[in-house]
Amino acid sequence: MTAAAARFAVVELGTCTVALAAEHIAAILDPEDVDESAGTIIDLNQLFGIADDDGPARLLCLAGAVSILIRGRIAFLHLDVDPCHRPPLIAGALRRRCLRGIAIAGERLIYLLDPGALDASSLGPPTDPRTGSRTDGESCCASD
Amino acid sequence: MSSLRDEPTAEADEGKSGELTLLAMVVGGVELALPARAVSAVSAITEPTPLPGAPAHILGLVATGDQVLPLVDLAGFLDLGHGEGEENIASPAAAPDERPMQDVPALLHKLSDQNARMQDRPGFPAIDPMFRRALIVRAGELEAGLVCDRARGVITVSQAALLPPSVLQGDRLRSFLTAEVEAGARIVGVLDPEALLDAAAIR
Repeated sequence: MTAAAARFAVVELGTCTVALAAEHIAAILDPEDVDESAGTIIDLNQLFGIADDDGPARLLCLAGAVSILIRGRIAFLHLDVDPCHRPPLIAGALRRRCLRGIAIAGERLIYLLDPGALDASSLGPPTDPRTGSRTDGESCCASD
Repeated sequence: MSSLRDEPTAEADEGKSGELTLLAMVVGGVELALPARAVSAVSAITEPTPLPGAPAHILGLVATGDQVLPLVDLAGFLDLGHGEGEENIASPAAAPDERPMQDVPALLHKLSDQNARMQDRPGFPAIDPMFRRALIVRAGELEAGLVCDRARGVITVSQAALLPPSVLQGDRLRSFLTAEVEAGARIVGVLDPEALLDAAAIR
């Protein structure tokens, strides 16, 4: 761990590892206990196109009006994400998945979520936290 | 990914005597080359990390040194080697569709199968997956590892030996060819690295 390391919520999504800075997480809730305060709910599996929905569902409520539905184990780790890589060749793919970039952690590559991009105004209809389904089946961040 | 890396220079590409230095490779049974100035390294390939929502030609990402590099399936991107004996008579490619990330290992397996089939075909060089390499290519701000079946090495040709593309077929391939050149008994297609990376980029 270096001086630049920060605490992240880390989730395994299929063969990908996704991390979100813990400082952005206001609460972790059971989806059954959610009310309107959770705001727009983004299903991380849908965002990443992962069909696997094994594991318990949890809701990471961000400081804004967005929550992230996550299935599976959430680990809190200290990661050094500096530098955060954003190869220009794939910038569009990162942007559409609300990713700030990629960090190298040992032999793993970790995708870093961008809380700012997870803006409710740029998202489709909300996800039902109990079923995990969207009303129109679409899931994407701004696809400019 | 282990690699030898050099800073590309124009001087490495075009000698004072009007010679052009190319890095030759085999992609889907077709002999191709890139200007050496665009290739900063040739590297063995490690299992890439899938990129969410990527089109089919992006195999994933690998860490090379302290960089993160996208790997491009050059055979698939150029419509080479995915048919049965029609590798270089390809139809124009539609925009690559998105595929589930779980398909990446299957695609790598398919590439191995494809190479195994190529070895049994007369007229094609034997290709073994162990020879597969990524040519790390930069053009402007874009950089990627272009996956080929085999990196043949550096060849130097006279500028006068560069001929307009006429032998190698395939609309998709043709759109990225700048020239053809005879290298021994082979016809080698010279690719435009700028156009290639620009088309492969996800905007």
